[in-house]
Amino acid sequence: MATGSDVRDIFQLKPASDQVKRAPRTEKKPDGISRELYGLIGNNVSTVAFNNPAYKPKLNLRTKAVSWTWRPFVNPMRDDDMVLHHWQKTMTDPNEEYFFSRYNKIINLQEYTPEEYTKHLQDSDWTMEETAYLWDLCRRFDLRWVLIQDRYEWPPREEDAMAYRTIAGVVPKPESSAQAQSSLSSSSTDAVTTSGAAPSNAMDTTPDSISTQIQPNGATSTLSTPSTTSDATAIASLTPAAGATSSTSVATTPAEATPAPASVVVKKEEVDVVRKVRTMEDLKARYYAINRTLIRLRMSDSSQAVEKAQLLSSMAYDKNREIERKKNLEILNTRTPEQIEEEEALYLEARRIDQNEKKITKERESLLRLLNLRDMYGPGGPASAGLSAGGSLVGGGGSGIIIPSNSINISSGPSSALPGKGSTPATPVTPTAAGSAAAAAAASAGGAAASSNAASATAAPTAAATTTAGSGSNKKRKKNTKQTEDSTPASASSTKGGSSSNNRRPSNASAADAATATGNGGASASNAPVAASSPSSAIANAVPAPVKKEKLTPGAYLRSQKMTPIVSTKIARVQATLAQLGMPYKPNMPTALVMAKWDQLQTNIVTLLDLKKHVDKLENDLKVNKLRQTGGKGANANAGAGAGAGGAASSSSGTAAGGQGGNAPGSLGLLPASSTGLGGTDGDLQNTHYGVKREGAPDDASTTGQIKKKKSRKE
Amino acid sequence: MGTYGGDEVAALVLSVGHTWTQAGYAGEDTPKAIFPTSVGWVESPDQDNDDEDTAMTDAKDNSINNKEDGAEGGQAVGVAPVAGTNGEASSSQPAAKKKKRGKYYVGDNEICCWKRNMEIKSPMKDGLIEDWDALEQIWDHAFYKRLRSTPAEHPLIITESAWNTREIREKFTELAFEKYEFPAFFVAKDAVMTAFAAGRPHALVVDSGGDLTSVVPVYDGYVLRKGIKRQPLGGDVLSEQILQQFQESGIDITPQYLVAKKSPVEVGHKPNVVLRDRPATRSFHRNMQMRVIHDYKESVCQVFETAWDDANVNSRPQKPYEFPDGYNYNFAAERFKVPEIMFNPKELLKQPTPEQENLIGLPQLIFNSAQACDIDFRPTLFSNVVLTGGNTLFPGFADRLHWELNNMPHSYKVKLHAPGNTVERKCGSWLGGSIIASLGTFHQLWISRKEYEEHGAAIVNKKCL
Repeated sequence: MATGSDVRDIFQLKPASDQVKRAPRTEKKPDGISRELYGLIGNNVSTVAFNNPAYKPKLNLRTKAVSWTWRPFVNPMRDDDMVLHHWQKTMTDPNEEYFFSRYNKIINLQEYTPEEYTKHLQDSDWTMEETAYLWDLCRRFDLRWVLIQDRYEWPPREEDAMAYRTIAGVVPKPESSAQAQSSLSSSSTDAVTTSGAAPSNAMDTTPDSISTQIQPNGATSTLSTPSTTSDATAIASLTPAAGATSSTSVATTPAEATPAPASVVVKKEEVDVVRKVRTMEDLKARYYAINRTLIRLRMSDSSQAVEKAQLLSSMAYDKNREIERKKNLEILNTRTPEQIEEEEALYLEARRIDQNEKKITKERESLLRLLNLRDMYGPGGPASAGLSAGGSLVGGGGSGIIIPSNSINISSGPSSALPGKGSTPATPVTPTAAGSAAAAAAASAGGAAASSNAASATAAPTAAATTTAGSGSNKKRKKNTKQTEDSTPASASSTKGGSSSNNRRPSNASAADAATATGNGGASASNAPVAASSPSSAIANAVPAPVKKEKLTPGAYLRSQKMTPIVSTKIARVQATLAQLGMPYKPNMPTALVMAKWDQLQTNIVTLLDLKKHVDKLENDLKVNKLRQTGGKGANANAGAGAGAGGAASSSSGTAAGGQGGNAPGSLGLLPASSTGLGGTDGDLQNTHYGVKREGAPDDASTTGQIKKKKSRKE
Repeated sequence: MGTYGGDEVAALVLSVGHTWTQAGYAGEDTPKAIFPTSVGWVESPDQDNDDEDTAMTDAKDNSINNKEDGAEGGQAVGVAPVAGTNGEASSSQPAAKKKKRGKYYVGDNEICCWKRNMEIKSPMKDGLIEDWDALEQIWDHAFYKRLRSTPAEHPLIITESAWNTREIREKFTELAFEKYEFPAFFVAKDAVMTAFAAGRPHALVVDSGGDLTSVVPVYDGYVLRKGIKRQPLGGDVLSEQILQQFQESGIDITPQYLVAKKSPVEVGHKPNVVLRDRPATRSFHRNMQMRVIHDYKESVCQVFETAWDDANVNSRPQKPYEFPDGYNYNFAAERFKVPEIMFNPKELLKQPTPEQENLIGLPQLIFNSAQACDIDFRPTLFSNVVLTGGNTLFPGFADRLHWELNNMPHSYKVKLHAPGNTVERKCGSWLGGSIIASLGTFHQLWISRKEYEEHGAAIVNKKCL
């Protein structure tokens, strides 16, 4: 078969080696791009590997099979020269060091000398021998603390001690430990510690040393008997038994001695109790404390300061914190499923409340703003013009505040919960109800009957009543007021309210009128003694504060919390306005009444400022539009914009609009100070009123209809 | 060099459990030999004490030299020094009992073959060796008859229970070096080996065998002594309960060795069987009955996957089983009832002995074991529960255990490792031993003969922690 090279030969071309043999380009990956990303975008070969099917390789009989030898080897990591055998390739060097010996890693522990110990490392709770034992365990278990704690037994059991002695070469000498203790520790603890150590020593010594040791131990015990500790008594009772063992047996290990007299067995258990129980925290604390001391001692050179600090921080250990942490973990992990469930439910609830809080405050703020917005205009605006009661209407500022709080309550809960909630705000104060009734009526009038469920429901008990009353005859009204006083179940009347508003859609305006008329009574309560049309208003008059109760602040609170908060960005401007009015920054005599008015004033100022801003903006827009377009077109656009805005507002917050409708009349009457002081701006407001009305909301019952009509007319 | 850090030195691996003994070469994935740990012997006729003494030492001597034929009792052979030391070492064994024994029978074929007066017993009790003579027989059988190896040429690794005593391991060491002359020796904890076979450095090894059920926490290849929990509730107890259950309903379990002729019968009818006249010892008969029950358990019994629910259990399909005497029956709910004992022994165990009064369910046992460990280590333990032992092989056992563990009041994530392969489940500890003894890094851990000679048998306590 002709290959490429043959073809080249025929055409007398150069051998293609350098062309064909492309050196595998190993383009270096630029910095800043992850390998995976570079693999996708980089200049590279396809990720799919094309491997040609390879046939099974032929049996190669020419090359010799690699020969293996069964060879002895010595592992250099062993203490002895044990010879094991394994298969190795014959060609490898038999004298090569054992491959796996390199994996033998030995932990590097900080060692200390006895001098260092006596000088720096003493601890009243630890003897030198025990510390040595701890060190030995650390080495044996490579600082695996779980294991160290598991195997920790001090003083070591007799059998372990034997293994320890014979193999480790470190001999825990009981006598010397006792001596060390007495020499090291202070005299006060001496008696106790020695008595604690002595009995266990007696049991844990190897059999051959028992006979020699019993005597001194007996001496210790008799010495310490007067010290009346339980340990001491244990020793006292132990000594004869130990003595017996020594006298009778030559080389009996305690294990063999166990079947001996029961008293001995019991005593042995007692001795076991004496054994110190060290928690992992004890052990770790000791280990790290020693290490820290050693580091401080050995790295006194200032040139090593950084390293020293690093080492010290790596050796930091807070025992109490660890204990606390483990305790908490324990609690955390032993919860029952019910507890966990409960906790989760609580957490969710808290989250929900948290989120709702935000939502509520936001809603509340916007509502407040809108309401107060309407308050400003009520009397002068077209709303009043549309209302038959007209000039006599004086809205209740207080009721203006109530409504939003009510509606919020309801909107957060399901409508079925209404009766309870609805009735609570409604029952105590009739003016409230009256006010909100007006709101509801207005709301329904606003054409948002269905969507304003919340609002109408809030206002329900009386709202419905008054609405019907307003539209209906006097007879009905009486009946309904009676109902209000009795605080009839809210649900019934609320449905009534709903239906009534639905039914009366065509006659909305009049209904609203009536509502506002009744609303007046409530409104007047907080303001000026105008015509008290309903008996309830009298009650309300006497109690101006209940308005505030509606906020339902949980727990203890400061009165100052009740002040309507002003957005921080506006504080300065509000204060400036206050200064303009000649008002102090805070009222001098903060009685409830004064504060209510103060609140009102402040919110009105805020609204005023907002409005100003809006007006400025709109005027600007208007100017721009006018400049851009010719007269006719400009008017069209203006109207269109207004209508659009109005529609949006009405659909988005029917309730708010409704509320406004009801409250509107009250606003200016409320502002005796501001009305005088703001004379200039008032005019402004009046001028700009229409723009605002379109933008902000349909401010009374008839507006929406008007806007719609306007819209249709324009079209 | 081996690809996976392996370096074969042709070590032998021996794992003697209460019921089964596994022996094989390190590096292989299944033991070469699996045979019952129980040994049988025929009681030799009574003779006077002197003769018996020599017979005993004779038997020992013979076993050392791998000649089992000479143990007829009367032959007097010179007492070998090694045997003497062995006799001393195993002096804790009541001498009177030992003297009676004649020839030993080890292995499936030998102990299941009927012999007049043959006693059968397992040398293990509570995971510890009780009968050293029998153990030697097992070692002999494993090394000489089954593996056919020369002990002097291979290192030996054996497994032991996590709570094995110091004396026993020292005796093991002595036996390996003195009698069998292994060049190197190692004793590994079976729980650690099981964890190793499962590929986990940390594990909570749940081992449910014939004699007992144990839960052992393993940390980085070491057993945590304080977390070891065990109770004498294993496959044998379940078998006893099944046997009782049958006896109560008037069904007698007739092992195969008694059956001369049988003819098929209808389901649930009395068996139509002609029995042989084969007088046997109680222990032999018991052993054979247990084998039948064992087969019954393997083929019929099952664990319900979630909490016991009568209606649900009754809706499960029946399973037919025919006993050696021809009696057959379709087992329904009863096949679920007995394994349930593992999870609720207090209420379900019928006629409990005094020591069985305080048994607790396996999930609780596991929980207690983990609870005894450091709190920082507990999550690791719970996510590495390794299941091993023949008694865990009931279908549904792992599912049920997982369900139970998840329903306990704790907030750990439970992960159960239960190998589906039966060999792996049964021989977990052998497998681990096989793996570890073929690792290059392990070879520095062996106890060499030289070390043994220098330090004595106590070295095992230092080197095999």
